[in-house]
Amino acid sequence: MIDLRPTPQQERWMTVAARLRVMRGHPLILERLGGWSAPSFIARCACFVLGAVAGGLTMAVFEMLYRPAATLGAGLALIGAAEWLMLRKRLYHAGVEEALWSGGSLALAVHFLPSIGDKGLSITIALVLAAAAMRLLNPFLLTLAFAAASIAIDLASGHRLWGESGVAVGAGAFCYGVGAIALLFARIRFSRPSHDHMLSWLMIIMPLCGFLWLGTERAPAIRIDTALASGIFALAALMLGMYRRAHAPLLACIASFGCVAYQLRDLTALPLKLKLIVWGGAALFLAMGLDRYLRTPRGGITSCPSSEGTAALDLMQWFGAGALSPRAAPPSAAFKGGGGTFSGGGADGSY
Amino acid sequence: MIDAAAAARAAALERGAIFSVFEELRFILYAAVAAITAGIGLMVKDNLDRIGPMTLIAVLAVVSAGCYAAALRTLWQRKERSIGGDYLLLLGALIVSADLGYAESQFHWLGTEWQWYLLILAVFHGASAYGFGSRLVLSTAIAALAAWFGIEGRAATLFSVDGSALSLGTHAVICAATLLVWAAANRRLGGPAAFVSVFENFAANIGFWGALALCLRPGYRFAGFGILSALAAASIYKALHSEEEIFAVYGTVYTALALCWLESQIIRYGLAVLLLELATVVTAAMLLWGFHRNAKTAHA
Repeated sequence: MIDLRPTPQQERWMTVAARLRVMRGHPLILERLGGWSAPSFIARCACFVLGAVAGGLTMAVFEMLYRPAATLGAGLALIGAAEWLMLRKRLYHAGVEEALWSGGSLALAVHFLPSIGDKGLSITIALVLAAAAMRLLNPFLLTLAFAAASIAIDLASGHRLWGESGVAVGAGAFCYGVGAIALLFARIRFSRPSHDHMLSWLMIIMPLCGFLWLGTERAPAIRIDTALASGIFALAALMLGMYRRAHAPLLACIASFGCVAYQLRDLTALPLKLKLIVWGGAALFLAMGLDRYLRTPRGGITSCPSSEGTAALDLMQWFGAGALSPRAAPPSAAFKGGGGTFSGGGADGSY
Repeated sequence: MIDAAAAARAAALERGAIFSVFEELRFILYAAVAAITAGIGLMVKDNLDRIGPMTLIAVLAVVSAGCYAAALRTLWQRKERSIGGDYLLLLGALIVSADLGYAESQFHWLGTEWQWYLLILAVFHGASAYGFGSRLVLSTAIAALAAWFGIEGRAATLFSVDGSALSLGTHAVICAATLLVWAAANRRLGGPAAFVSVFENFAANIGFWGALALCLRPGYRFAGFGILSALAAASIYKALHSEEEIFAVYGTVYTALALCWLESQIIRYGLAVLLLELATVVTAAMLLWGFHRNAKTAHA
């Protein structure tokens, strides 16, 4: 019998093996994985990019060979390749099969529904991505599917994405609603870690999408409502995150508090530079205070690093620190008295 | 498989008996430091006439001294610096960068050789990184050094036709070599072992970008590809021996990117190019997967 995907137990063992790197490849672990295998997060991202490029190139090859059925041929070939990798090579969450499957299903959708208008297209994309997410148990694709669904809702209510007047209340409310439902459902104990990840992505990203739909509106009522919605969501996420000892609600809380801070930008008449310094300083001292307070664990909560692997985050931190540093001026720019071109400390301006 | 302490810790984490908010704090601290440095950058730019250069330079110097003082106090007390302390030190280093750059732009101490202030910054940050044992400050030192070499970190420069891609390429390769020498010296002279990974990751990325920039210039394609191949071989060797998967990713993805570009430039037949590029990308993915399999077997 061919397994379509790892069993929940096998998936849990894969998660444990990924978390405790020392156990990776141990015969006892390999026995429990049933031949399924997944690379690290960084390799998964790289493989996803390579898979997406391979998908695009396959499409171009079919386009040159037989244009009328290019999308059909490419779609079938990509899905076939992805299924072969999963069923025969037992790749799971490896990136490449995820890119091929989603690219192939989108190509098939384009073939069978060639001219259906903007609304139909976004509904189709949402459905195709949702189907891909369910087959691959991929949280990123599911989040994209819900984001596409919010576009469909906006188009259904008579708007045209960007540049048109009118408030995307429906799309915004949908996104906040999905985030809230994900937050609520996260209390359920799922047997598959991938289901937990799906809810985690939805509770972090969807409120941000909701904010993006409404955050640019200048009407005071909309601004107050979005600030309130983000604030309430942030508080709920904070409480649930602390109660359940889960990271995703805390990240959702941080992101939503960022949205609240943006909506409160006109609360004072301070110029932008001072707002950045004051709010940045407040966040810095708050985080430092928390760090100090939690250095001794309080009720099991600590600010000390856990033993879980954080190589990708360390890497991001180093490159992030480098990105804040001064950059070179263009080689052709001549030195100017009283300034010249300079950017330092995160600034990028001319004096 | 794992010792009793590690097992107990893993079980405690799984049950939620221990819950670390380290990553959340790190995220907030980074956002806070980024906001403050952006604000300082804007303030320096806008408030020249109102405040005056001397006042601004003095204020920034005092603030950065405060940040360094906190780190010094921790050092003298022989305590381990927390993540908050590390970011406060990073903020101090970034303010020093802004302050020195601004002072140079106002007083022209270095005249037409103003770019040397970046090297002075790199030396200062490098010394502080060693003094305080901070990898974040080391990252700013490396970034200042790269800036001194004229590396801008903008992908658009790779495709420019005015020759800046060539200069970027050669400078980036020299910068990567300098970083590798620095890493070797760090290892040989008993510097912090934790710094080696920072050097190697920056050197790999800067070197690969430089080699890619050379590959994109018609007259330097093969030289660029030669350098890129050597870097890829070194990266994959490193990945195989240290089990750091990221170096396998660098080695395969950058090489695939360069090969795809070269194939599109050298072969003129559309379908042949597409098929060859497809084969290149598929081979890169297979190599990456092969590395993963290899690493697993090595563990076993």
